[in-house]
Amino acid sequence: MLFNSFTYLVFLPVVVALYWLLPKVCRRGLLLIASYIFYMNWMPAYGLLILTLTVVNYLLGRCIAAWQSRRKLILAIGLIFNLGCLCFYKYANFLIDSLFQSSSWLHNKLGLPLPVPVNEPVLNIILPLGISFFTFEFIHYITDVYRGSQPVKNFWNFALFAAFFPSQIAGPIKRFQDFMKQLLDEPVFKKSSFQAGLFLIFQGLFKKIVLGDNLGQIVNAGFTHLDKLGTADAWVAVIGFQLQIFFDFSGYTDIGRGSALLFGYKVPENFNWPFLASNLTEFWRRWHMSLSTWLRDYLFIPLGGSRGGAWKTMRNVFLTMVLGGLWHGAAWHYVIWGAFHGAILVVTKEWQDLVARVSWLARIRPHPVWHWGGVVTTWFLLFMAGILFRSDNMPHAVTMAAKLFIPAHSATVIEMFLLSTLPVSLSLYVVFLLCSRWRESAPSLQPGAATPLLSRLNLWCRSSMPFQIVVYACLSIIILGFAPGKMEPFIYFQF
Amino acid sequence: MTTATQPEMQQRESLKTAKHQAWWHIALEILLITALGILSLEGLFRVCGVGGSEFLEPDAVLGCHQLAGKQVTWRLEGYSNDRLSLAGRRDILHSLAKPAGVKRIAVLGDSATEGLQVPLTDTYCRVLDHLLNTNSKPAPFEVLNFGCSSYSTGQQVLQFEKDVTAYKPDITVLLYVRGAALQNCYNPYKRAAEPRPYFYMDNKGALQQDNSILIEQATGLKPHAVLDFLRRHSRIYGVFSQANLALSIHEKLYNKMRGWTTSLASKFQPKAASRSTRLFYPQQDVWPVTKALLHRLNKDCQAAGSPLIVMIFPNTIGDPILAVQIADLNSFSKQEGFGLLDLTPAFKANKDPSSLFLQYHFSSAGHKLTAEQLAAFLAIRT
Repeated sequence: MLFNSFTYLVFLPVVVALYWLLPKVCRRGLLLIASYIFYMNWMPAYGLLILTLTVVNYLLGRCIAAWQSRRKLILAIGLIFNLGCLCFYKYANFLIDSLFQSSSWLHNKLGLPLPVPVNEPVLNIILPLGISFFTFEFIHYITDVYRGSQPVKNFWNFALFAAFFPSQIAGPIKRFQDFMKQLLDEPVFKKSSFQAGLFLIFQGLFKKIVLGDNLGQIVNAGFTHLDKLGTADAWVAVIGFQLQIFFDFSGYTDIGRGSALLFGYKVPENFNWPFLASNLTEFWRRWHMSLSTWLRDYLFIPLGGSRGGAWKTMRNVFLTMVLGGLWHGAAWHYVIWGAFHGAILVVTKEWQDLVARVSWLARIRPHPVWHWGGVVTTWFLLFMAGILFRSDNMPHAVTMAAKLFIPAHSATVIEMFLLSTLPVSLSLYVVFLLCSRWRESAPSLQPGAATPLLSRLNLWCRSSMPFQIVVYACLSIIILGFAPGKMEPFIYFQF
Repeated sequence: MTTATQPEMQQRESLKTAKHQAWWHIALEILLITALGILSLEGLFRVCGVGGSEFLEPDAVLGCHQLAGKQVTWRLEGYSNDRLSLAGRRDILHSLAKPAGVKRIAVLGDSATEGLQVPLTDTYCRVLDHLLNTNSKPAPFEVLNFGCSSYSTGQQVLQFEKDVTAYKPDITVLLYVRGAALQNCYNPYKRAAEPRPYFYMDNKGALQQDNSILIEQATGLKPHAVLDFLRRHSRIYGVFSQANLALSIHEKLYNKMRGWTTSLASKFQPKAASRSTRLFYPQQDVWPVTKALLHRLNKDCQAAGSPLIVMIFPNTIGDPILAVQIADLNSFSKQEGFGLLDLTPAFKANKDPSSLFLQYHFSSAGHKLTAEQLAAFLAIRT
C-alpha cells in the first residue's frame, strides 16, 4: 500500500479510529493486524516472509541472551541468515549478471575455456518491499542483544516492532529500545501529538505529491531524452533530481512519522536541513540520519572505526560508503556512487585536518563566505553523485555528466519546468519554511511579547479549531490540484 | 505546585475566552475563514493555471459537450493552455456557412482527436489544415475538429447527424479508437453507467439506440445555475472534477466506493424513479454494434455528399483484438465503400515510436505524423 494512494487515505483513518476506540488491551493487536494488511496488500505471499524473519530473529535474540557462551556463534548465524535473505532477494540477479558478464569477457577477450551459457540466466525474483530496511532493523536487534541489551520477551511486541506499518517499507530504521519503551508505556491520546501527526502527514503529502512527483516528470524527461538535452536542460534535470529525491524521501518519512504520531508513537527523524550542510560529512549527519547512524554503529565501528590510525579510518569510511551504495541498489553505478561519497568523505576529513593545521586557513574559516562556499561546493558534489544515482548505467551517467559541461542550446526541460506548477509550489514551500523558522524563533510571537497583535494572532492560529480545519481543507485541495495525473511510488521503495 | 508566569497566565486567559465565545461569534469566524480560504485558493489556482481542466457540460442528447469559449489548462497528461472555440470545440472558430471555393474536412473522434494534451496548434487537425493550405491563397481547405473527450463511436455518429452536417463537410474523417468503441454498449445489469446514448442490436439484427440512462439521469443533465457557474468559473470545482477523473482511472477502491455509494443512494430513491426507465437486453458484443454504427455513419455521409474515411488509431502495443478488428475493417470498408487508413505501419516504422505518445494519447510528434499520413491519404483519394 502506498502512503500517497486513495487506499491509504481510507485505511489510515479507519485504523486510527478503531485504535483509539478499542480498549487498551486490543490496540497492539490491531496495529499488528493493520501492519500485516498494509504489507500484504501489495503481495500477500510476502507477509509470510516478514513473519518468518520475525520468528527467526525473535528466537535468535532469546538464544543469544540465554546462551552467553555461544552468543558469538548465534550472532554469526543470525547475520548470515539476515544478510543471506537480503542477498538472495536483492543481489542474486546482480551477482549472476556480474559473473556472467565477467566470464563472457574472459571467454571472448582472453579466450579462456569457460563454460559460458549462451543466454544470461535470470532468477525470477520480485524484491520484497522494504526488505533492506527491516533486515537492518533485525541486524540491529540481534547485535544489540549480543552487546548486552535485554531481548524482547513478548513475541507479539517484537512482531509489532518488525512490522509497524508507518516505518515498514522505507524506514526510518528504528531502534528497538526506543520503540519497546513507547510500546510498554502504552501511548495515551494527546491532542498535541495528534495535531503534530496530522501536520506531518499533510506536509509529507505536499512534499511528495506537489513537489516530488512534479519534479519527477521534469527529471524523467531530462534523463530519458539525453540526446535532446541542452546544457541548461541538463542542469535543471540534475538539480531537479536532487530535490526530487529529497522531497520524495522526506515526504515519505513525514507521512510515516505523522501516521505513527496518530497512534501515539514517535519514530526517529531522518532529515535535518541537509542542503544547509557545508561539507559532505555534515551532509551525512543531516541526510537519511537513521541509515547513517546504523552504518556508523553496525558497519563503521565493527570495521574498526577510527581506532586504528588515519589510514584505517580512511579505509573504513570508504568501505562503509561503498557498502552503503550497494545497499541502495544492486547495480554497479550504485557501488560507484558509494565509492564517490566515500572518497569525498576521506578528502573532506583530510582537508579539515589541513585547515586546522594551517593558521591562515584557520583564521578565515569562521567567515560566512567560507561557510557558504562550502555549502555550494557540497551541492555541486551532490549533483555529480546524483547523476550516478539516477542513471540507468555508467555510460548513461557519463553522457549526462558530459551534457552539463558541453555547451548545447535546447530548452525543452526548462520550458517544461516553467510551464509546470513548480515555480509557484517551490516558492510556496520556501515561504512556508521561512515562516515556520521565523514563527519558532521570533520573540514578537511569544505570549506576552511587546507586539501583542502578532502574539495574539499566533495564539489564535494555534487555538482556533475553524481556522485549523479550513487550513487543512485548503491544503488538501492544493495537494489535489497540484498533483500530477498519476501517483508515483516512492523512490526508496525500490531499495 | 508550580506558579504560572505572567505570559502563561495571559495565554490561559485567552484560551478560556476562546472557549466561552458566543455561537454567532464562532459562526461568523467559520464563515469568514471559509470565505477567505475559498478566495485564496481560487486566486492561487488562477495564478498557477490549476483546476482549469473542466471543459465538458451535460447534454441531454449527446451526454455531454464542450463548453463554448472556455479557457482550458490541461495538465493531466501533457500540457496545453488554450481557449475552446465559441462553437464549443477544440478548434479555431469556423463560420457555419461554408465560404465559396473551400473544401471542408470534418474530423470526428474522441480525446485523441481533441488533443488537449498538446497545444491547439499541434493537434493533427490544425497541422493537417496547415499542410493542406501551404502555398495556397486563399485557403482551399478547412479542417474542422469535432473531437470530444469520452465520446463513443455512437456519440460521434449522433454528433455528425446533429451538428456536423450543418457545416456541409466535403469529406468526413473518423478516428477509430477501440476504447471509444467499447463505450457504445453497456451492461444493463451494472450499477453505474456514464450518461450517454448507448446502442444494441435487436432480435432482428437492427441497430437500436438506448437512451434509458440519459432519461434515468435526466435531472443531472438539466441546466443548473449554480453548477453551470462553478463549471465555468470555479477553479476549486475544476480541481475536484480533475481529481475525480484521475482517481477513477487509477484507483480501483475509489471506483468500488463510488459504486457502493451509488447503490446506497438508489436505495433511498423512490422506487418508481430508480432504474424504472432502463431497458433490459442481452449483453452486447461491441464489435457488430460498432460496425452497424459505421454503416449508419457511412450512409449519413453519402447522403450529405461527404465521403467517409475511417482512420485507425495505431496499434503499436499489438492489441490482438484491435488487430482482428483492423483485418475485419479492411474487408468491411471495401464492402461499404469508405476509405480506410491504418496508422499502425507508419507509427511502427518511426525511428523513435515512444516519442509519438505521451501516456495514452499522441504527443505533438504523434499528431504531426497522423496529419502527414492523413494528408498523403487525402492526396491519393482526391
